[in-house]
Amino acid sequence: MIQKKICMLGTFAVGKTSLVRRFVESIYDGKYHTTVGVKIDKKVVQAQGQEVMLLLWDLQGEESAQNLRSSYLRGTAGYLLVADGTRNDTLYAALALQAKAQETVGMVPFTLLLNKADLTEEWSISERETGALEQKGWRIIQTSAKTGAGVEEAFLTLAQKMMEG
Amino acid sequence: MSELPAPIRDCMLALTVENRTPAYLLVNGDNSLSEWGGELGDYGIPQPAAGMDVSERLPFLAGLLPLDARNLFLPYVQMATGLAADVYLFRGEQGTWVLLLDATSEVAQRQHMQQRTHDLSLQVGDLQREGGELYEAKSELEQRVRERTAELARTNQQLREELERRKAVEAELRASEARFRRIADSNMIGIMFWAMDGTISESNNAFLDMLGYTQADLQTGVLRWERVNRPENRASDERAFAQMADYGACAPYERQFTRKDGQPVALLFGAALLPDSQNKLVCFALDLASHK
Repeated sequence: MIQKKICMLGTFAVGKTSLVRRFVESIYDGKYHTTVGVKIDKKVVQAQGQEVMLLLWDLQGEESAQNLRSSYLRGTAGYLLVADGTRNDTLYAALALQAKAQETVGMVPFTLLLNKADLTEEWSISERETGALEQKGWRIIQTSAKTGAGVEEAFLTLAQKMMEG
Repeated sequence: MSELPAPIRDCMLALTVENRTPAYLLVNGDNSLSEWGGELGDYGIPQPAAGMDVSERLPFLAGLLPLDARNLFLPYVQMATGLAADVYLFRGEQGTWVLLLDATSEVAQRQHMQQRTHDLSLQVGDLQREGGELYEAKSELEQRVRERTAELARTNQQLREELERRKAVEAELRASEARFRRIADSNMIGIMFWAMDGTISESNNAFLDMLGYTQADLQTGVLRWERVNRPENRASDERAFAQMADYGACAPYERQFTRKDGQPVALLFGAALLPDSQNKLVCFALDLASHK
């Protein structure tokens, strides 16, 4: 079976672990548990008419891209950048991590996830900011690990892009 | 470090073996296991066998093997067994060596500290957001206070101007009253205030003299309009009242009165309605006989 490694990138407490748990186990826990190092999960999906095993590397959230350990990224076929829609600064942390990831692994498919879409009344990331990224060709999906909205789409969209590549 | 004496190296090795539960694998290019040792069961391979695909048991190896020229260090990899391991990968002549060292206790310590740090950062962020919201609310309140203060200042100024206007009007009124009072008190002409109900409220001495009454008669109510009026005035009075209804005053006309002693007297008479009144009048009178 084809195996594809996906890294979850984003600063702390944006919901990377919650997104993986929602996708793999259909579970959501509202309490924040920080991740140390890396936790790896697997899930088989269909993409491009084939079964693909996604290896999900849930990396420790880093406030600074400089702290991102490049060894974790080796061999990754794609990555999900995660930002917390209620914390504007997490978008800029995601942008810095994307630059670091591209420098480390080159041009591989990625998608930006604006998580916590269930808290839109507290949303602090503007359409102007996301619009500028979309104009650069970025794929952006709003997700909620709490409700599950957009989660399946996020992983499957990336799986498709990795298989196309 | 290569200069470390053998006893030190041996001691370090013994400590590592004792404290970090080492395990190792030698993996061929096709991910198949060829050599192994140590506590592999703790890391998820309880029954290693030659040729088994290790990436199924250790998924972090998928995509990494065969290792390229660079060695690889993956710290704090959480294993399916619950352990956390530091993973070292390096190339050997027969394949890729994978060394696993237990890092569970270090991860637990880091997790505790990192959790507190992140929780505090989130709280600080929440406080900053709340502070920002409070600052915005305070600014909005201050702006409303400024607007309200300006509005009050404008109202105050308008009130001061209104007060000044009223003072001016009152002063003008007092001056006007003084002029009128001067005319009345001079007794050059007779002046009298009366109401349609027959009450005479005020009169100067000139008017009283023309009718033979005194101020005492006026004060005691002896002097009333119906006592001094005469029936032959009806037609001329109706014309005068019609003029007053239209214009507020009537043209002077000769009018007959009855003096207190019962004698008739002809006076040149004029009247005007008092401001804002339909039944109170001010009248003047001239004694035609004395002028003739």
